[in-house]
Amino acid sequence: MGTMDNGPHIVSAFDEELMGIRAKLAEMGGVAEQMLADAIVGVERRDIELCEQVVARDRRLDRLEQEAEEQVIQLIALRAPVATDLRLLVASMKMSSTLERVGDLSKSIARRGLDLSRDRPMPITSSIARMGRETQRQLSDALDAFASRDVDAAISVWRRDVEIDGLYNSVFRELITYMMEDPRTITLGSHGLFIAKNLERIGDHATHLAELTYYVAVGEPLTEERPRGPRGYGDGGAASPAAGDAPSDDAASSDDAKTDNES
Amino acid sequence: MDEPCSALDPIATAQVEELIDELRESFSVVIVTHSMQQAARVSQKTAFFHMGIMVEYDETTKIFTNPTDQRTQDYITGRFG
Repeated sequence: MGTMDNGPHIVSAFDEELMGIRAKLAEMGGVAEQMLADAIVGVERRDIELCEQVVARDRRLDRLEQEAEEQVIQLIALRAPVATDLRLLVASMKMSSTLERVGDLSKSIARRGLDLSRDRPMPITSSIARMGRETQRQLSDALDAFASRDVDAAISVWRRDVEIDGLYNSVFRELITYMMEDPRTITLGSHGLFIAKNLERIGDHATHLAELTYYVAVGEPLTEERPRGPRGYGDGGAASPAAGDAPSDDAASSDDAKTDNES
Repeated sequence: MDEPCSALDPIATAQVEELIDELRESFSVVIVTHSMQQAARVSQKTAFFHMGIMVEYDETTKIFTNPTDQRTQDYITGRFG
């Protein structure tokens, strides 16, 4: 990216190393996208095999993250990058850990998909799948914007996160309704709630990728106020359902999937 | 100071840079250097000159993280000499 926009370095090995990092990030993006896509299909179709594949694939993403981090540290140590090169490398490091988190959250979705598949079918899965596809689109657009360093596309991803938040709220409401009507659905409904929350977190990570793209290209953080929908949950707002509030953003985001990826 | 650390080893360079840092308590110090890293280390403000023309002058932090002029960017990142 930087290398293409700014012309080649006099030391061509530097360009090759930067290209290596870009390639590594593209590979990580591809793996994370596939994990999310498969986790959603796995939940939707109650596909145990697919869910198990997602869980297994997370190790590859962890390894890629480690490799990306090592490459960035070496480049910083040996090439003393400045300006656009420095921004790209710092963003790459953050991006690789963000994608690793997306992998963790997808793995967590797949694990819950396994539990859902072994129980009786639940009508809610179609709403979750719809939310999942919207999240997938956000992630994919964020990765494309980073690869092509398209600031406008990045800003558009950043603005659209509010739609995922809206879908999360409606899935939450729907699940609470089912659980209130029939307490036997509480176990499955709880899995559904966590899946929706994980998707919402992946949406937030896509937004973060968009912010990194903006930072690399413009050199300043994206500070504009992001659009927010009516929150409704977790803030004690009037839209809260009688059955209680969803976990608030603050509580759930403190270490996102860590609370939810081993169950 | 014109190239005050030219051809010095790293320890002597560090001693000169430490002296510059002490001197700046009482004086404004201007140094000319071709070492990007030295400019970043010792200065608070940086000016980039090319072919006798001052291309850009700004806070050192700004110059090395997000310079305004494309020529500054290309020079400090090693894209043209």
